[in-house]
Amino acid sequence: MPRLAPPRKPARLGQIQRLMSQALMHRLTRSEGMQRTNAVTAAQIIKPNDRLTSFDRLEIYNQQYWWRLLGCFNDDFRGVRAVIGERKFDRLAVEYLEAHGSTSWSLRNLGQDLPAFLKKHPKLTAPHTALALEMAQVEWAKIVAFDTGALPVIDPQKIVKRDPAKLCIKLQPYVMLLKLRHPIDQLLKKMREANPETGSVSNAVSATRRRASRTLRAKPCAEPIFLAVHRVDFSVYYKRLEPEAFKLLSALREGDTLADACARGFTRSRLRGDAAAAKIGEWFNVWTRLGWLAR
Amino acid sequence: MNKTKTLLAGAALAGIITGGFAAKSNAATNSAPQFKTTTIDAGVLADKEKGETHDCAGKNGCKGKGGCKSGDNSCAGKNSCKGKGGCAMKDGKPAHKK
Repeated sequence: MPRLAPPRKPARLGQIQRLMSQALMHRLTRSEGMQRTNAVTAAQIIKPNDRLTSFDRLEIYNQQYWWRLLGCFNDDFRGVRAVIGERKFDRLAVEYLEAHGSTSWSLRNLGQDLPAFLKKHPKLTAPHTALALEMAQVEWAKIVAFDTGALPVIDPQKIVKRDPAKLCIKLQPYVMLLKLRHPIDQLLKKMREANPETGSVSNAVSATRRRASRTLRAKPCAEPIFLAVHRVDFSVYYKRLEPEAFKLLSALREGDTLADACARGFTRSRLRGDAAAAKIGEWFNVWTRLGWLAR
Repeated sequence: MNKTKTLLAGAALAGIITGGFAAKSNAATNSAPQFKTTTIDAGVLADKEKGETHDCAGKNGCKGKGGCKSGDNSCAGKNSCKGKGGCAMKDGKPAHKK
């Protein structure tokens, strides 16, 4: 890289920081180097040394930013990668990260906008748009279920005398409710069994990437699948729900009273009266034991 | 409140009460957390073992665990990148340029 005559240097620290972040977040070239257009910025804010030019030095940070983010994105959305294939996924990752780069102190939040992004850019996942979108929703839900905070659980003794017509029960924020058309839980199980994970402290990212190249496909189901993604004792689970249970939980999440939520759950249901009551009793028993119900 | 609503809400409360008792008795008899949920259908486990669910959740917190992703610590002590203004790593391995 030829050394350029240094252009005018920015006077303020804020200006330097802006130039630096713009250069870092600028996507890499096809050969994974820094874009030539960043040469001016590099000359403005980075000193060369006896081994590396300003461009080379800035490029190291530019590459690190992208490789780190791409690595994390790949780990978080292995299912999406398996659905659309490696090449498309790599393109999607760059497009997504350019639009929604790192904005949080935690890389945990990196993929939070992916489902919305995929809805907006269906071509990036075509012809498997619907499957990829649902996969992204479940994989993001898995992250939320794993480490979102928990509210204090309800105390059954305290609510027993309350009027259900006025009683509001919250659903734990880490319980994610999804209505799907594809059996994503089964696909992820299949993928997990085919690709045993190496654990989080491995340097074998490239090996993982090779294993993840197997493709996942599924046809839409005739009936929707209602899935809760949640955690128990620091492990994440996929739990299928009956349609009425899904509606009921969704109503609780929306702030309905216990009585209204129960009624909403069974609107247009074939189950009535005692049969519906028996189901409700059984569900609330399980949800209480799983710690899903909160104050 | 109509009859059906009352019936359903009553069933919900009954479920909460019995669930609360079961949770309490489970907690009392089995203090180890792995026993608490053995009788509940929690669904399908997303990952094989605990902690695998999300690689170093809040990924900045994995420092010191021996390398995470393209961990900055991977080149610690190797000095190969000393003085070059950064340690270029890709896929957990040093990226040697040009």
